[in-house]
Amino acid sequence: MLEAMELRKVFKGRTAVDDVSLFLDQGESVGLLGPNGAGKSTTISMISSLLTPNSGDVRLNGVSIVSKPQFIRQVLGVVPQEIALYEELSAYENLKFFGSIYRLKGKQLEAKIQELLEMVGLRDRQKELIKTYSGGMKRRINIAAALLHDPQIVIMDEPTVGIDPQSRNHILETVRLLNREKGTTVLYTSHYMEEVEQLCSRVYIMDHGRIIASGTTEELRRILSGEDTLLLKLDKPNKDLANVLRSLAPIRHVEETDNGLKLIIAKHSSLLSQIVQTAESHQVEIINIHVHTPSLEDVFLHLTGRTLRD
Amino acid sequence: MISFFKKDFLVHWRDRKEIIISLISPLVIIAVIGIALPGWVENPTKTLQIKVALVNADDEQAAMQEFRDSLAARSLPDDELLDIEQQLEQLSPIRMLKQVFQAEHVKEIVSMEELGNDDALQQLQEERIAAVVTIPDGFTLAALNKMVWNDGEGTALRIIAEKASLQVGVLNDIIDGYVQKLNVQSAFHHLLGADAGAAAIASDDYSGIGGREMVDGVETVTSFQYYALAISIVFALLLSVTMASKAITEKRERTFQRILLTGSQPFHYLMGKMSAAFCLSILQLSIIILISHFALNIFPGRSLLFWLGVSAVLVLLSLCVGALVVLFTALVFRLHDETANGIAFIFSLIAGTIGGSFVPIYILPDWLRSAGEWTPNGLSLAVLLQWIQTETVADLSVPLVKLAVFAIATIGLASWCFPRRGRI
Ligand SMILES: Nc1ncnc2c1ncn2[C@@H]1O[C@H](COP(=O)(O)OP(=O)(O)O)[C@@H](O)[C@H]1O
Ligand SMILES: [Mg+2]
Repeated sequence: MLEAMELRKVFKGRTAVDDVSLFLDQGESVGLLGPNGAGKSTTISMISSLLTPNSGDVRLNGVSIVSKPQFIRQVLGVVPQEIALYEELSAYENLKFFGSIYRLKGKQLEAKIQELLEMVGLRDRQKELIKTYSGGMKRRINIAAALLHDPQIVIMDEPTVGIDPQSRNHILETVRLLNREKGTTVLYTSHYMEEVEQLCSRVYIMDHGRIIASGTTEELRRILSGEDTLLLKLDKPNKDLANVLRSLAPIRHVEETDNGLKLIIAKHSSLLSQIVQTAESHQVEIINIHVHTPSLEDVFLHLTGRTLRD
Repeated sequence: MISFFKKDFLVHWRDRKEIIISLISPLVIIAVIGIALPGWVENPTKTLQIKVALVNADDEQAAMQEFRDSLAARSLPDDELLDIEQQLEQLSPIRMLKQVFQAEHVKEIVSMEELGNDDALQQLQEERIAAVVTIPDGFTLAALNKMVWNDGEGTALRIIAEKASLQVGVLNDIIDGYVQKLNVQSAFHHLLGADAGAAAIASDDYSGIGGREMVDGVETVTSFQYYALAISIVFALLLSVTMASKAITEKRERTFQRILLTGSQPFHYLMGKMSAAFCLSILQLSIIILISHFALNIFPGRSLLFWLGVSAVLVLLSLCVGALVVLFTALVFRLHDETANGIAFIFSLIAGTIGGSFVPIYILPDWLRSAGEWTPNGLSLAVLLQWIQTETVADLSVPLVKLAVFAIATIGLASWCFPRRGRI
């Protein structure tokens, strides 16, 4: 349905997005995961026709929209990373303004506004000015404003950054509702992998302007199928132990956690006894060992050697 | 487009701090300067000095003779005739006028020289003198008839000036004072024997001997009037800067991007700004001018025509303000925020200065003053000052067209500046 092909964007000699290709099929919910500065927002701006790529193309049902942005603007709803609302206007006035410039009118517009306010749970506070809202409430109206024209495709750019858990749950619920019950195609951008895992059937992982992995969450986890993640709970932290373990060949990655170590090791390497011995020789007691199912976070760690929030 | 208008209007309207600043501060400034400046007028300084020519086109001897002849024709009782004859010795309207200009406190401001008509007009044209006061033929006779018999309307003194100025205003006030003095005399002579209070009443009667005739721009411009107009105009100019800065917010907070995503035309967006700025400017100008008018009685007793003329100028000025908002908004999307805002601010500062909004235009050098008439605020102010003095509709049309042209050209420039798609 919507397809981005080899997109590239250079800002003053710095390549922000490099050779990014992705596609969305009708009714899909797709995640775009990556740390801050990975180029997610830039990619979205190009897909939504706000930014012209240096090279590459965006196609909607096979028609290039780089030169004909009007094709995509009616079917696409974009929830920007920023709260793109007028602070001096009320929630209702904001929705009314954006609705009317989508050429909605009268009763139809009124009904849509009330439906969306109901959906984001702010119907009884619609007369209040946006500037009096909490961060979470603003985010919810920010989403509602992108849905006024019943878009077939919704792109959300980090819709949950910096908000309270209640608003966050509300937003995740809204996205699920849109996708599962209304059949809206969703591209969900985030640097919270739990959200993407929960909401999306397919994921693109981005870093430094490039897509470094893609597939269903299952497929991505299988990248790690040659590896196990071990969580060691230790009685006290010990730097030397971590360094010695790092030098052992089958151990690919060692990371210190709050109460111990996280190890990524080649599968079936039967290192356990060696690990236990090493710990003993450093007078560290292992309280327990847990073999962990890999998450997308682990996938990212595997691919880049960094965590998403580095 | 109406949606855009409502949005821009509301966004600005809800910015209470901005609204209060833009309404209260000009009123305060007008009041303070207006109160400070009459003192300035009464305690003349160098800047208030004026060179004036007095042209006497009247023949006083002949007038006296004619008046005496007319006395004979009236066949009055002998003692009354004698009485009038005696007073006639002292009655000389022209001498009284000259005495006025010889008074010490007047000499400090007005240096008066008696010239022939052609000579005076030439000097006026060469700007060696600022005004010509003409005593028209028949003045003495008409004045005597009015004073002694309260007969006829008297005749007017004429003041001709090339340009309106505070100085000419002062001259005008002096002539007014003289007219008033003649009135007292007239009342005195007419109500021979009546009690003294009558003189005071009659002295309010400005039209006593015909007052003065308005010629080429000489109704007084008071400092209140000057500053009420200049300050409200410069605040209209500043409105364009504050309104354009809302576009910076729209760019930063991405509401503009959201507007683009709806597929709206940038043209509608810009016209929304223009119409909102236009209405806000009209509102702001009317509120400031009307409040200062009613609070300080700035334009007493002016006609409906006068107010219509003022409105016409302010409507076109507001169009220019709207156009400037559009231009500054286009710059915001073309350049860096600070650069665009800086350009808008510096433009207003320069336009405000050379347009006479901060200091009276009269003290600016000529070349700056004419440059100032190329700014919408300078032109509006100059036209309004002219209008206060002459109320000549013909004088209004060319400047109004100029203002309209300025607005259209500015919008043209703005659409040329506004970035093409994908470059925002
Ligand atoms: N308008 C711009 N001008 C210059 N650099 C930019 C601009 N927008 C983004 N960048 C740079 O491009 C990179 C990617 O940014 P962005 O797409 O916002 O990442 P993300 O959304 O994944 O956090 C960053 O290094 C950022 O600094
Ligand atoms: Mg981003």
